[in-house]
Amino acid sequence: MGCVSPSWDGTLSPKDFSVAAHVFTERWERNKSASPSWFWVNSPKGPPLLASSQHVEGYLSLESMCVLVSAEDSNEEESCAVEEEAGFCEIEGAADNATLVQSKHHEAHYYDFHIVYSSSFRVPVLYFRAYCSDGRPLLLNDIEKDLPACSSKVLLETKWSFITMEEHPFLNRPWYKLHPCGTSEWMKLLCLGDEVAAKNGLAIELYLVSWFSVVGQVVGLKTPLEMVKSQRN
Amino acid sequence: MMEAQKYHLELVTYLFFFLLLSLTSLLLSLPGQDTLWFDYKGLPLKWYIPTGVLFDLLCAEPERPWNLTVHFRGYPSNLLIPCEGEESVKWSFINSLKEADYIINGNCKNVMNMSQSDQVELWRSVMDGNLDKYIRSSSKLKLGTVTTDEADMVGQVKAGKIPVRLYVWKVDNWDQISYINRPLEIHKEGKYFTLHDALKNLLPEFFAGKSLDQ
Repeated sequence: MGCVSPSWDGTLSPKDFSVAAHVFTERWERNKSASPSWFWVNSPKGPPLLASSQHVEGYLSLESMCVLVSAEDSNEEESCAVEEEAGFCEIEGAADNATLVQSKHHEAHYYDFHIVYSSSFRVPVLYFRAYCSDGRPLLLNDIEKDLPACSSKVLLETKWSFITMEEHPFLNRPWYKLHPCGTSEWMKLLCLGDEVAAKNGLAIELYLVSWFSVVGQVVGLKTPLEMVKSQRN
Repeated sequence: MMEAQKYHLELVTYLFFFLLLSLTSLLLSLPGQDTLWFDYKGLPLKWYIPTGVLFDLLCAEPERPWNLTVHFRGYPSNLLIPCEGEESVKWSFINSLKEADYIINGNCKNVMNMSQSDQVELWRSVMDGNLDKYIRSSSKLKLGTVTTDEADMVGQVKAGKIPVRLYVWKVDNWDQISYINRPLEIHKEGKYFTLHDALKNLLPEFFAGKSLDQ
């Protein structure tokens, strides 16, 4: 396993991305067993000609993460007992509609997340899409309400350089994308700023775990502390 | 039903401006229209791809005039990124520029720190398809000069990389047209680095048996 040096620029090679992706899925599985799993997708619909020249032949995927949204017209007492803030719930089998549309006061929103390697920025990039239980896609206005308050604020302030819709590099369909241009900078700060990590050297295989502990929060996905701990099984 | 109209199109700019320029009066007379979009032989055109690239991709046999259909309703949002007007087109361009800046300079600072007036000037040159103006305003971004073996104190990625976006066309379906963005390292050995060299680097298997015919 490789360690980063003090002159590390905060980026990741395509090969390290695959390695880090597998460590990430493994740890997620172990610590977040109740939520949907991340899994590696071998670039399925990659264009015939380009598929073999893709340096990274796949991406990470977590699908059907469910968010329960309080219905706006609900003014009954019961609704007060429910968490006010929209949050990603971790229900086993969250993809099963029957278990979700149980409450009249909540609407289920589903999120698919993909982590794709960017050859240009040499960092992972988060893509996502959201839809209602009937499959209707959610617009950014609706998604904004599901995001943590700080993300909604950034979204308002920097509309065009935070989250925009772009073509998914593998699927060629419009997906929301979290802009990666500052990633290497803050990954450098995050990893080299930590004294312990700086002394022992951060294992590059933990890149995605560290990266997601920040990026996940932007979309309301928390990373359990156990995942970040560097000891291995 | 509208009659066929002929317009002169700048190939380096975006279809959106063509719309803006030529259809404004018509638009004003249509109440409650959806986002406008074009199709060519039933294939919705992506507004974020420059017009000339679209033309080259989709017209294997160059067709003049290029017969496009403009739609006022039923935006195919499963296929096309939503367009909120000029701002969408401009930021799609600027975000690509940031990506290119990162590949060349190891960060996006030149693009991010552009002054408002420089940004307006650069964007206007793209809109107008004015190459002279574009070269003048983009020179400030230092995207043009590729220096090899340039030692960098901060250890940033800077050794002769150029951003390449390659569209590959197969058949008449967007699923078969894809692009890759790839930094390309240049190893100068006293000769020119050609587009052919770049393609050989990006699509090695394509050159194994076949010749480059598209």
